Amino acid sequence: MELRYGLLGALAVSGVANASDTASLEDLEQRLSRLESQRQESFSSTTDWTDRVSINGFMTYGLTRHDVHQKQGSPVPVPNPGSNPDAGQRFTYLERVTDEVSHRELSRAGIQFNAEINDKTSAVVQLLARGRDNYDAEVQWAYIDYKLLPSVTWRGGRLMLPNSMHSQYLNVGYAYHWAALPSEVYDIVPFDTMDGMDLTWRFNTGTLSHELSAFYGSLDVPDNTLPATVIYKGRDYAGVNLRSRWGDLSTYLSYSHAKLTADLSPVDAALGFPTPVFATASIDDASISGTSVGFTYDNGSFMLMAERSDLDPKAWFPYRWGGYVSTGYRFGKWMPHVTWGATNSGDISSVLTNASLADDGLALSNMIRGKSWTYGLRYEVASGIDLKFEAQRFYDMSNEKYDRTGSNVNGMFSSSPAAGPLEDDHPTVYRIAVDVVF
Amino acid sequence: MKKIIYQWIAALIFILPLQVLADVVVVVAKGSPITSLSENQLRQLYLQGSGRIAGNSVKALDLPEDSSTRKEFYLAAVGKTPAQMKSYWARMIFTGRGAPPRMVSGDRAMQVMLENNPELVGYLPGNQVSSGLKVLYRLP
Repeated sequence: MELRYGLLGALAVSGVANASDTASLEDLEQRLSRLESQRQESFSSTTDWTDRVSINGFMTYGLTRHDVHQKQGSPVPVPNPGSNPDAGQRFTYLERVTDEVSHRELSRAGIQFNAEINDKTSAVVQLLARGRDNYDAEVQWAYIDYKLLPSVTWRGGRLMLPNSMHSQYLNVGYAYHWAALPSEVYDIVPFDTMDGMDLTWRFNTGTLSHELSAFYGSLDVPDNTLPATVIYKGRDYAGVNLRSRWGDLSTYLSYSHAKLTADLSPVDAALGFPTPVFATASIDDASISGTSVGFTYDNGSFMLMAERSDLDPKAWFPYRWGGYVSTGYRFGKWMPHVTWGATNSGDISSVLTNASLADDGLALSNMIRGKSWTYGLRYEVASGIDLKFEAQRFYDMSNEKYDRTGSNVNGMFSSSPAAGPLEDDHPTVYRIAVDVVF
Repeated sequence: MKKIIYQWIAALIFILPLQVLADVVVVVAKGSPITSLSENQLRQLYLQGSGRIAGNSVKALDLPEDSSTRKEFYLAAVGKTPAQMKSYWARMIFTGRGAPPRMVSGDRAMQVMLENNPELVGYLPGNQVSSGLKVLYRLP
C-alpha cells in the first residue's frame, strides 16, 4: 500500500513537471498499474537494485613513530654480502617506521562492493589503498560466492589468507582494539592474500556454533627488501581452519601448507657479483607450513585474548613463532588495554652449518627475537568511529642462542645484521589512530 | 478537580515505568509457518543476519541504531553491546562471512515489513505487537 502511495506521489511530481499535459485521473491510474506490474516483475526476478548491491567501507588515519634516535652503521665495505645498504639512515621498525612521525604507515582506506546475483550467488570486491603504498589501490578480496547447500559456501577468486585469528580483517582497524595488530604474530607471514578458493561449512554442536573452512590456491609475493626484487612463489597453498563460538568465548585453529620457490639470482646481478652468491640461496619447492591457535573472551566489559602462530619454512628462512596475551576492560566508551607479546626464531642450526655464505647471512638477518608490552587506550567516539592511543615497548631482542657475529640483535628494528646494535635496549613505538567503518 | 490531577499523577507514576521497561518480543507475520524459536536459534539468527528455522529460510530485521529497544534486545538476546555488535559486523562484512540484518526506520516500519513478509523475523516493544503479527519469543 505504501508502495502505491509512493508511485502516486512520483506520478504527481511528474504531472507537475509536465503541467501542460492534461493527464486525466484515468491516465494516471493506467500508468500507475503499468508501473506497479513492472515493479512486481522486477520483484519476482530479484528485488530492488539497492537491495542487491551494498557498499561498505573502512578507513584509518594514524600517526606513528619510534624513539630510536640513532643512525645505522656499516662495518663492512660495499660491495659485500655482509654490508648494510642503508648505512647512515635512521633505524626502522618493520622496515618502514622511523623516529620521524609517519602519517602513512597506519593510514589506509578500503571499500567493498557486494552484489547479490541471485539467492545463492553473490560477487564481492574489496579495494584497499594503504598510505604506505602511496594509496595505490590493490584488490584484497575479489570473489564469487556460491551457496552449495544452506550451510556450505564456496568462494573463488582472490581471498585474504586466514593465517591467524585476525588476518582476514587486518586492515579494518575498527574490528580490533589495537592501533596495530601485535607484530609478534602479524609480521611472521609477509603476505596476506592468495588466488584460489575456499569452502566453508557452518554447523552447530549443542550450543556451540562452528565455521570450518578449507582453502586451496597459490600466491606470488614480490619482496623488495633486497637490492633486487625477488618473487616468492607459493604453490599448492592449502589449509584448514576452524572458528568456534560458545557464548562470549570464541576460538580459532588453523593449519596451512605450501611449496615455496624463489629465484635470488637477480640480487647478484644488482650487486654486481661475478659469481653466484645469493643465487645459491634460491629456494626450490621448499615445504612451508604454518599453524595458529587463539581464543577471545569478551563479555561486553571484560576482554581477554591470546594467540600463538608458528611458521616453519624448510629453507634458510628460519622457523619462527609468535604469540601474545591481551586484556582490557570497558569503562563506558573508554577501554584501556595491555598486551604482552613475544616472538622468536629458532632451529636454524642446519642452515648455519651448511657453509653457504648467502644462506647464512639471510638466515641470520631474518632471525627475529623480541618481547614487548603494549599499553593502549581505545575511545568509542560514536558508533563506527574510534580513537586509539598506544605505546609498544620492546625488550629482549638479542638472539643469544645463536649470538655470533652477524646475527640480528635488533628484533624488528633494522634487522640487517650490519646495521649495528641498538643503543637503547627498550625502544618504544608510539601510535595514534582514528578508525571508521561505514 | 484536585482528585483528577492526583489520578493523573498516579496513572503516570504507574504507566511511565511500565513503558520504559516494556519487554521486548520477537515477532513474525501471523501467517509464518514458524511457531517457536529457541534462545540459541535467536542468537544465531542475529549473529548471522539470516538462517534457517524449522526448515524455513529466514532473514532478521533490525530497528535503527539509536533505538533503545534494539539496545535492550541485543543485550538480552545476544549478550552484546551496540559497540561490540558494530565491531563484530565489521569483522563479518569485510571477510565476506555475513551481512547484518536489514535495518528498518522504526516500530511502524518493522510492523509493516513483518506483516507483509513471512520470511522476516523482527523484534518490537511488547506493546507494539500489531494484529498481523505473532510473538515467537519473549525476552526476559
